[in-house]
Amino acid sequence: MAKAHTSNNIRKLRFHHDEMTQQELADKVGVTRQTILAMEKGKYSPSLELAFKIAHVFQLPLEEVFTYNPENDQA
Amino acid sequence: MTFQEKRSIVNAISILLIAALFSWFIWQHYPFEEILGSFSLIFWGNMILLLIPIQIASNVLLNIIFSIFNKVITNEDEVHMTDERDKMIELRCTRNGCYVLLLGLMLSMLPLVFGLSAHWTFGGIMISLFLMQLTWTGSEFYYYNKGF
Repeated sequence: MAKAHTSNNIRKLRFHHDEMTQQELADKVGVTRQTILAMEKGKYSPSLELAFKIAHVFQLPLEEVFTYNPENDQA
Repeated sequence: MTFQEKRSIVNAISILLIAALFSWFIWQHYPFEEILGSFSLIFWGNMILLLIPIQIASNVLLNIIFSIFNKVITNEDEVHMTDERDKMIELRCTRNGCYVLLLGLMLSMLPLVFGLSAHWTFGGIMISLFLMQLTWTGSEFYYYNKGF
């Protein structure tokens, strides 16, 4: 598996938002719980639209939820 | 293991089961020498038309059984929704399946080139279809399990 180009703080942010469950977040952004799980595990990089939706749920700017990892880019 | 991964395994089992049962059925009802003896498009037309409804029915049946067992054992609801990740995985699975089918179809033409019976070509096409389906479900399991 290729290393993810982005990492995220979704798990931590969920915890700080009244221990929001994966299902609750999934319902708010319109995806399945499995997709939230895959993102938290770094197995899936979301689309820009989904990333903005997640940031909007946590009332944070995008870069505080997602971080770009240029070192994982192929040369 | 997620619901989608388990569903992929069930689908793979369904494909293998149908391939085995169908081959056994052909073997029992149509002796090999008889098939090779006289080429008939009607035979292959019948086989393909018979296989499609059997495959659909068995797949639906196995998926219903799987959903019931999964709900009873894990209390996990069936995932009906399709999101962007599911669509991306579906596209990649279709791509991989198409590659296999294309390769299979090209290889199926070889018997005709070498002057063998067209039965080998149709047999090759049937095998390619099964391999395509297996590649599809295998890819689905891989992408849900490993990510992309």
